[in-house]
Amino acid sequence: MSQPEAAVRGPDERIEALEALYRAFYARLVRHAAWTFHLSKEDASEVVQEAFVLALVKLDASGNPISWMYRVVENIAANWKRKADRRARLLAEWFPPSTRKPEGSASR
Amino acid sequence: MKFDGRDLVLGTAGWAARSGSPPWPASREDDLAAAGEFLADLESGRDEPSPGPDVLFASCALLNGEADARRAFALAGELFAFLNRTDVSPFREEVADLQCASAFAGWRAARLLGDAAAASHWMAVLADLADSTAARHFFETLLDGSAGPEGAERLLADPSRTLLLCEWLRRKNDSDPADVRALTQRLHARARELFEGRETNETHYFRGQLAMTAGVACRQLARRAEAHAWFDRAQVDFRLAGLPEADLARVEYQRLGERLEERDLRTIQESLPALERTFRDLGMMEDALKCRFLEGLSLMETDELPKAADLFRDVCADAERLGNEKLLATAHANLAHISGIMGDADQALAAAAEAIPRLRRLKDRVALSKLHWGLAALLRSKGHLAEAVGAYREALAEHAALGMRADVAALHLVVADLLLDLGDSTEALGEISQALPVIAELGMAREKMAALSLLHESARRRDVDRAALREVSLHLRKPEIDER
Repeated sequence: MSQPEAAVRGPDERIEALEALYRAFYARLVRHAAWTFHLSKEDASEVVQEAFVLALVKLDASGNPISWMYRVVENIAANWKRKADRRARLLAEWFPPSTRKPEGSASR
Repeated sequence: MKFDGRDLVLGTAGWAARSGSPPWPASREDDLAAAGEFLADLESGRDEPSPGPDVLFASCALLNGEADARRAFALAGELFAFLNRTDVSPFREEVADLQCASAFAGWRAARLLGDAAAASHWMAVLADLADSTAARHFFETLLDGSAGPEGAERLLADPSRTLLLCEWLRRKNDSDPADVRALTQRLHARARELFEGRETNETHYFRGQLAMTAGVACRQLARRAEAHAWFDRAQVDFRLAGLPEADLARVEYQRLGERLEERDLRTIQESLPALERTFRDLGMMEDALKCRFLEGLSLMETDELPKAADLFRDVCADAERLGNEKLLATAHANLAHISGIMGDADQALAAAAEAIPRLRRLKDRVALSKLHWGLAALLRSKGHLAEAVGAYREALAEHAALGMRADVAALHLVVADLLLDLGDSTEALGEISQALPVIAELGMAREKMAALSLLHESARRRDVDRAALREVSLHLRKPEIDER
């Protein structure tokens, strides 16, 4: 797996370059989860956050850490998608669109 | 400053923990709207700067939902060219994902238009992407046992990825048919469950292609009944996919390959011209050229060797013109074998020298092991018997490593015959006894059963019947290579 280099000039720029690299990698993973598993950006972002929490705890020195990361993101995204599909199916089954109240019209 | 992957993952994890989920400047819907504008610009020929990977992924999604297949087809080509000339992402894998998604859009639109030649072109583009190190690594990681059952699900989650997977498996058949057999069985079963009730042209194609790849793997492994059943399954799904004429013709080609293994040359001679014409009419020139392989191999079966050699020389020229390295390598390998049988060692070695580096580059272990078998036969025909035994045993080990049991059994019998020439009947009996259980398991054509019984009986008496040995060994497998 390739990754871009952080262009460096001074110490402040070094931190900025690192942050830009982290942001780019994070965004890449969110895009991957969103477009491969048909998730909203918010859901995909949650998936990636969850994957990074796991990385802090479980990432070990052996193997390819970036491949590992993709694998974790994909596992979580696949579960997320499965649950979302199940929710949508149950919703359609039990509350067909014609019986649903419009947003904001709940009784107070 | 360059980091390793671990630094990048942990650094980003720390950054994400500090900054929380960053807000996304654009939702999926915003990306899709921007993609619509980007595609319109692309259509009007304006050379836009890259709108960013999100909008590019959204553009691929739009193309796959585009009702006007002609527009989708033209735009997929434009988008693919744009991705090749523009710096769209700092991550190489992301660029490959985008290329794959746009190639999928082109392939899909070509099939909707009924344009088999254009669909073949996009499939060749995908084949190159499937061959990349990143794709190989990705599929191998997801398909190894430790990835669990979710691995297959993840591979079938996105149609462009599924198509890439089908192509990757088709290619892997040349290097590891036993593994492909196991993988395709698993993936086909999962695809049946996942696609149930939401079938589309593409899902039928994926299932059909997985079944066909499984069938080809079984053919390589001499599991004839199993191969036949897989081709039946492929046919059912391809009938319901978008471009049945082209896909069914490819199944028909495999069925004629089966006929060759059964030595049913008459059916091949009768059916091949029509099949080749079908491929030509559909603009599938590489598939049309593959038909000539079967013609050449059936000429070898009828001992028309000079005619077969001329034919394979023509195939080499055509494959070179089409730029198809694989067809070229396999044709050279067959030419090496024919020249060997005809006793032209110089020509055989020259053809082998053309074939070997190409087959190595393509990681076509199946064709390489067959070529080594052919070279062993050449050593034998030149009277270098002891060296031939060594070369045959090397070829035998290679076939055994690939799980090609019928070829292994045939090679045991060839080695036994050679050992008898060298006066070593004890070793020869050892070779025969290793072959017989496999032959019994694989089954033989009815007319060869008498020879097999004779061989059994003579081996039991420890006095080998040479005629029976040769008849059985000739019927089993040979070192010629057909194009899968």
